[in-house]
Amino acid sequence: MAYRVLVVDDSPVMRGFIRRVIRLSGFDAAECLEAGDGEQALARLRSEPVDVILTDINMPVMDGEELMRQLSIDERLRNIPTLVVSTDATKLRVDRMTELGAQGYLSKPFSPEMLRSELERVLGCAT
Amino acid sequence: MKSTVVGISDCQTCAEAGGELVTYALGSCIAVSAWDPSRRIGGLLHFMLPDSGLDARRAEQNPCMFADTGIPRLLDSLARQGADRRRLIITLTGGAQVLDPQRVFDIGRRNHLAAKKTLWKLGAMVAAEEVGGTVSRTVRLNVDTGRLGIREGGGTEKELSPRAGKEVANGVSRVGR
Amino acid sequence: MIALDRAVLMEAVNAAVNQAMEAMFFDAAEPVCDCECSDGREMITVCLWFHDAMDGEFMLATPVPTAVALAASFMGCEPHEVDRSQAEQIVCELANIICGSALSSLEPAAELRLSSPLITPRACTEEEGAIYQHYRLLDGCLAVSLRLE
Repeated sequence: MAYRVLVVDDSPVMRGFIRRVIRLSGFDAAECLEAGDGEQALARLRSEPVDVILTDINMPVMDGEELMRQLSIDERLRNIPTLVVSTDATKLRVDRMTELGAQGYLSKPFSPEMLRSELERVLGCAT
Repeated sequence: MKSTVVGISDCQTCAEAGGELVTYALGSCIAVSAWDPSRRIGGLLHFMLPDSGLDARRAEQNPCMFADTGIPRLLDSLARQGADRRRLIITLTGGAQVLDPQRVFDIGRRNHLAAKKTLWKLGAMVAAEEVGGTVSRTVRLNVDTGRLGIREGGGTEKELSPRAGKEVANGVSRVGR
Repeated sequence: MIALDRAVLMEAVNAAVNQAMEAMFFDAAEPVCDCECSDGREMITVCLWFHDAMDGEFMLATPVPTAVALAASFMGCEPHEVDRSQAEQIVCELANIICGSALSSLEPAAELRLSSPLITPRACTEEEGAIYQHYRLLDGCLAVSLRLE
């Protein structure tokens, strides 16, 4: 299956790191879309099909928590598997993001292998 | 089973049915194994030091001594025999802590980091690893099955593979560090 | 405002630096007391602020060649393929990761809000009331400071 992955992070180099992991992990012909904040992410999600979302939390314009909130109230988008990738590893935040529907939570820093493993788990498949 | 011994600062590949690659005395050195499950081709590198910049002349004479020259050599050698880099299952073993009176950085840890950095640069990721600790290891790669057996000191052999045993799912695995 | 012991803060920052360097930059960071990180070289310095459970400022500084080397490791490319903008982005992201990771470990039950990291012309120096540490890396050095208000 060729996955369409949306990577949401305000750091272009972090988006690049995640994109590289996805490519090297062998997820079949995965296409990576990018957004620099939650608002850009919503615009893409409302115009293109996406199979999985990876999102940071601390971003300008619209942060990851607000993005999750917006996804949770949109019946067309609420079931897209979402993996949170953030420096914020506090319990309050993890609990809130999980309540908003995040299937996975990976705190920075992480190795490429940790991201691959968590992505495999969220996608429910093994490469 | 035809067994090929990989020495220190050495790299061997095998595409023979029933073939096996084995390397001994992995202290602070790292063994990099790479196996193509589709072609049943495997390779094993046993390197000693992280960075060829430490001794460019020696690296030229024996690239297998260093992570940054040995690992590309391993992958290129496998590719020449028809292995597909994207399919390779790669493991790391070794990197034990060896006491050194003038230790600044643990050479085992440096070797481990250098292996990961080189693989990342080459566009490869590690499927499983067993690194750290303080004991020497022996590694055995079965080229038919991809099974990687590890023996610590004089102990019994156990299996390390991406589908069984220890995975790199929670970051660097360290034994006794 | 939660009062934290200086040694506890330092330990959290050291752990965060080590974890970040190892996981994403394949490098090792050793705290050192006797090196001059800048040594007259051009530095890239980043500042960010944090608030809620703890209020304060975090700074990270590294010489340009170290930033380039770190960017090359992170991106999986050669140093000559790294441009200035990417080197600056890497230092920003590294500051974000270290600060967030350290503060999350110190107050895992509290709220954490970080500002976006910004490049600053200010120098990252040892100041009263702030913790300050140099680190020797395999390919260079960096300095961090963390000041609680």
